[in-house]
Amino acid sequence: MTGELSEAVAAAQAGDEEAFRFLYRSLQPGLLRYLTALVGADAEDVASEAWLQISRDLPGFAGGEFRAWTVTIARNRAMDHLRRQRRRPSLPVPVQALSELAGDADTAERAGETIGTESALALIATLPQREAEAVLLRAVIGLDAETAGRVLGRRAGAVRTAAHRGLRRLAALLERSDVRQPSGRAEQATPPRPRTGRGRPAPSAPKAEPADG
Amino acid sequence: MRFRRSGGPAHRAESEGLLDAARGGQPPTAEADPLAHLLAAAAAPAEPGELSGEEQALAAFRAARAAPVPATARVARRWGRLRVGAAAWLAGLAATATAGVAFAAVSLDRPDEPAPPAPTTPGSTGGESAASPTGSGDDPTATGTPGAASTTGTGPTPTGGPGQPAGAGELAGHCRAYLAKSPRQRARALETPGFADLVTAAGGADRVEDYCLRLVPDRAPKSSPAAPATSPAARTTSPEAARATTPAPASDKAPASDKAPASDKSSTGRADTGKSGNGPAGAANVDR
Repeated sequence: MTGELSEAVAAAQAGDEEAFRFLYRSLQPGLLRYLTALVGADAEDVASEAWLQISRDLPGFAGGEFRAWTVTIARNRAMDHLRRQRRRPSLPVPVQALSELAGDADTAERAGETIGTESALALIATLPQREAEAVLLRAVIGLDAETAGRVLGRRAGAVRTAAHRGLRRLAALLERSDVRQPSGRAEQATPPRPRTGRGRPAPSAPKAEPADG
Repeated sequence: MRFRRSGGPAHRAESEGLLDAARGGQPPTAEADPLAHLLAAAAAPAEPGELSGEEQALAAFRAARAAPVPATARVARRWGRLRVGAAAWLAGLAATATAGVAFAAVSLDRPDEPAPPAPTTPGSTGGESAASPTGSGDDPTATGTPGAASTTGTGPTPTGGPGQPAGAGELAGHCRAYLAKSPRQRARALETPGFADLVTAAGGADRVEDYCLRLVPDRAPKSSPAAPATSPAARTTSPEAARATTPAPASDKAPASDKAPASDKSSTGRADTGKSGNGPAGAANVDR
């Protein structure tokens, strides 16, 4: 996968449009999901800004982990966006979307899975931003802890800790919804939101960018 | 720690395992932890709606290819990004050159003085210790190595590619080497096989210059005074740079091991807001 990706990067740098299309298809879902946790419904706009910059700066990409490079661009665009807005969206994903997704056909199709992609992302987005970012960069974008740390300007250890805390929080949320109503997990994803969601918006937005490592 | 009562990963290693499984795209088994299912769902393959911006992104790509004239602000930004890589490259080049010369001097002395003091530059000690293991007192091998080492110093190819699997970094390296030449040498250099890829990528020998200025815009203004600029850099970084570049005649993999982390770090670190803790990250980067 990584080799395929770097081949495509080289080809796109040489002007190969299909290679660029491949890059877009490989990376956009992860970027969009990550951005949704950062800027909510504006994720698509921010993602297209990011792709604008990616295609412009691609010739200057000097090697290294291309995923990290793109996600750093996307993150910076998201931070700019938030700075412009001066406020974070109150809810990362509309609540209705969650209840609609409870009966998601997609969910039913995949026998093993109990939760749809959007519901999963909505749950992750309820985490404190630091934890949500760590989980998403690791599991969805597919970076290792060191690289994720470089994107976030934090130490790898801090990323591991944040991801671990995030996963424990998610496990607790899942368990709670499981106990109360085994059939409607996604629907149950909403109640915990006020608890974690309330404290998040104001303090974490400015905190997101400066490094603490 | 508040969640001790519940399931979920008990320690960081378990969390890392879950995250890596999701990242690797392994579908969890039916009876797996709900958390594993959640992560797998979050990392599930693309849904069509997520790719709705594809044509727009491609249009941006085309536009960027068609009109690559960089705005002033962008040049500044890109220059900032490339500075680290360029500095590393220049340091490597200078170190290779000085190490070659120093080593040549040392090996000329060698028949007479079995223990050469190597007083020239710090780079010479690094170069010598790396190059001499093959035959410390032996003339034939000793004279063979410096010759090759000095070729890497002047020749653009081996040091140009910072060891990426991709050809693009190599092209950038060719470009820097090309731009560092005088106009007369440039024309001649393009006829050599070492620059054939560059000519192909640029779409013709007459377009190489534009192509290169686009690829490495920072090199344009200071193509001639490159030599004096390198000497301080060489002094600071020469020990490891020399060690990495001296075995270059064998293959161009050796500089790769040295360059990859540097360019890697710069690529992610500089694209960020610049506040990233580079010290520890850089160290971690090396073991990776």
